[in-house]
Amino acid sequence: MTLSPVEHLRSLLGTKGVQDAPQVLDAHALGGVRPAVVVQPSLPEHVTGVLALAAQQGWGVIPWGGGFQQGCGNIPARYTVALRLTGLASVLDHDADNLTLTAQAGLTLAAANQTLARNHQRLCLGPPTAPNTLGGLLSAAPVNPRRLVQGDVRDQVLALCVALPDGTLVRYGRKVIKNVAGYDMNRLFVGSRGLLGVVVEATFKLFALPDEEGAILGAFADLDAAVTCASAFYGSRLLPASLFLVDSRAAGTVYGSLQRTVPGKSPHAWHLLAAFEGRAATLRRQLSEGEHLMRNHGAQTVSPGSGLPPALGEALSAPEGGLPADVPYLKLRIGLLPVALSSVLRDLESTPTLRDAVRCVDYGAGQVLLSLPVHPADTESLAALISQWRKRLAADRGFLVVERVPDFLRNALSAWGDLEGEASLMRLFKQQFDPCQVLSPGRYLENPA
Amino acid sequence: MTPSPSRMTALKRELTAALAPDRVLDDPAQRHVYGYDASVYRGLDAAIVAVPETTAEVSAVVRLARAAGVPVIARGAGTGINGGVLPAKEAVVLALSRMNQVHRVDPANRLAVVGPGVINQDLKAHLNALGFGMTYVPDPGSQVVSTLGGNVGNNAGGMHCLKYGVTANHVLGLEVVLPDGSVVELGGGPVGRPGADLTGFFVGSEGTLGIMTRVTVRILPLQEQVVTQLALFPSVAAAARTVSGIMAAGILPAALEMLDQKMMRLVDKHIHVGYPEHAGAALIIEMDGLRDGMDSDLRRVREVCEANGALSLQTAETEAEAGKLWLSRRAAYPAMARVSPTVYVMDCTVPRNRMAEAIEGIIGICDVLGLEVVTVAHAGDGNLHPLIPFDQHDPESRGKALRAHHQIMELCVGMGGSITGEHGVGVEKQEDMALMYDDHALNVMRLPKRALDPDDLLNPRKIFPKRFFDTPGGTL
Repeated sequence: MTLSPVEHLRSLLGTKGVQDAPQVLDAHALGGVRPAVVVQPSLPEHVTGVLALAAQQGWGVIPWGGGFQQGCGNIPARYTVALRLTGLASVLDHDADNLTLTAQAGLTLAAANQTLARNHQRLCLGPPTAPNTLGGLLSAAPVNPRRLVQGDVRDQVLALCVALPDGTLVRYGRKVIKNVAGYDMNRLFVGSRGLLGVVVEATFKLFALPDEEGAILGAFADLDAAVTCASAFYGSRLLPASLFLVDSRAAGTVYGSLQRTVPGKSPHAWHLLAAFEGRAATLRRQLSEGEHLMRNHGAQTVSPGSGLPPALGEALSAPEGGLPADVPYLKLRIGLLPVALSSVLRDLESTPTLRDAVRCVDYGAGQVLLSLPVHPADTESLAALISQWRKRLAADRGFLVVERVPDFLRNALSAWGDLEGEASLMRLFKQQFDPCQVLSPGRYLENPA
Repeated sequence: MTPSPSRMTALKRELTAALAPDRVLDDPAQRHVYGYDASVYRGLDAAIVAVPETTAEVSAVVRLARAAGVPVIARGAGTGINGGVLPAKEAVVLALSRMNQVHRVDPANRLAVVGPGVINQDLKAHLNALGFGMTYVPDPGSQVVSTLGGNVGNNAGGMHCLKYGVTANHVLGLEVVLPDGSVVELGGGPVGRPGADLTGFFVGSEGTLGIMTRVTVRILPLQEQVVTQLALFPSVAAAARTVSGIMAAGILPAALEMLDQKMMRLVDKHIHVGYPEHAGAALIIEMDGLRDGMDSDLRRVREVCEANGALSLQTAETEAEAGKLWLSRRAAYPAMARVSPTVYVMDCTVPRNRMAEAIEGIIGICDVLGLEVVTVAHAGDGNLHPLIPFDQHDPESRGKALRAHHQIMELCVGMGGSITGEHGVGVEKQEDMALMYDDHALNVMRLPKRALDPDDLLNPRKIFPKRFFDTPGGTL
């Protein structure tokens, strides 16, 4: 007798944590494709059990955390199991003396930081109160908004426990700062969207909470003035934790989170946010010099703030940041070197298809985030535009990533584009790690367009 | 299988045509030199030494050697202490020292692009001379001679890793010649590239996955103020508690370096620092950042030192004084040369708060074996360098030193640490890898190597325990 995936998984995990109710399956659909079953293991061994079974049965498995990163990627080539890691959400070890945290992948960053705050410590993988799971953050490795002082996700991972596509478990790294012996395997797993393995547990380096945080937000007449000022910050001895530029559409969210209204109504205005943290005296000096710097570069107003606004994340991820509600939208992330920002932003501004985009720039990281409403009729022109931009950016090792895409565009726009030799290496490694193509088949390394 | 003499002769002819006669060395004395590095190990003589000047030449050497079935080993200055560049098979050694151009310095984007043969200190001097107020931070002890290629290959550390990270944290991109001779660019532009961090993965791969021919490094603005302090403590335990205390107070010093009592005495004999007899450990503390706020951090550091029974805390008032304080740390290795012609420099890590216990354990291991040991440590990272004087030419002394090394690695791994902090694995620690990882984890770690270099032609028989190479198929 042939068992269905649900029956197979129930015999492995029991009925609890194995769901096939239509509304649950709908909630895990990607590009209109529903999984046959959603499982939520409560033990790492269950994760390996599911993967071993999947390899044996030829199933496609897509790991899920909070679901925040699932908005991108192609339509899965096979999608039998949605593997939710949210049942693995414990803090396993907080070593306050050594400033390390070991936690399961399903724990949210916000929950981790709540625990850590008792010891005046924090984990800086993104906005501290982010509802994203640690596993989701490790899988997507988003650029840390505080990267200028804390580095990125990869810099903070000390050790990982990973369930491999063949259903085995491996551990790499140690609970020490210099933790690598042999190849740094954690560099392969972090950021690869679960293509090579599913992180079930991770050890991170922690930071002490700063004594104080503060920010200033300057309004500039246009893009050039704002970028020139950002560049002056970057070239100065000031040590901002974050340096963001937002356009007039995104400004409302940022000012709103500081309980302020956007100064002026010019659609051409750009706003520069410089956030600082540290000792009181360090902060005072930086806020004061930062304000001078902004005024000297033509800031029309400079508003104070208490730190990196929690709503910045929303400003970055429309529609909350200024797009009309209930309209399908596309979110793009462009990576480029800071000196190329001005010309790229100007050209983006004059591109008709992108006229309605909301733009936000992480200057220190060289990332431009664009959110724009899209319509099915735009498919061909968008595909052509993105391809053209990718070619242009690649000349200086830049890139364009589709971060969020409505279902009707999923297979028209590849998530990562052609990363030249890097994509070949990733495919080679994928073949070695996952010869049966169990994990996220067809989602990132293929170009269906 | 060893290539036949006629195959080697043909390969030499082909390499000479691809490079230039004076850049293919086969004089026995020259080849012999390439069987050594700064480790206590000894490799085979290089079969041929090739000295490429361009990426295309590196690619040509790799293709020709591969066609002949001859391994290729890339080498920088040979200052590695793990035997990583020693030929374990008859091989072409690629000396990358002539690829020493600084191709581009781009202060506005905070990066520089350099050849693998650029000496670490030379890059710093070059940046300094340009006057942008920027520097390349990683500073391994060998920085005056070691090359960027070697630093990247071994993911080198240094004194300032606590705040700034190891080499991997400063490499933005790589141009790599793969084992099939093709050239691939990894990273090299902005951060946040999608997918796995292949650049970071190749850093520290010890020339076994590809040969780095161009490195894009991060350069950072010089800090407005740097304060150097020397604190003396009655014991290693008190100094180690201070290290944890400083970090727990929310202070992230640029450097926290420790010397144990024996090391202090040797340094004192060498450069006459004037350490008091009763001091059991010295801690060099370097703080950097903006002037404003520095006082409050220094006050907190003083409080932590005093709370842990510091005998004294001296703050350098001038750059010259700071240099003098640092000299007591930098003179550690030269001071050892007065004790013994050969010193085994070991490298391991433990959780920061177990350092004193680890040092006690190391002394215990050496006592049992009848060996002397002194220790210096990048204390903020829990990175210990036990230094053991021994006689390289006395089999008994050498045997004891090697036994001590293995036992010290066992001790550190048992404490939750690692067999290497900043010097890689090479041949020295290839068997110790089994202390860190079981066969399954090692098999999985070998997957990328098997994908890229199934015949193990790039720096063969390194990193993994020898039994992996001696097993048909290479999987255990």
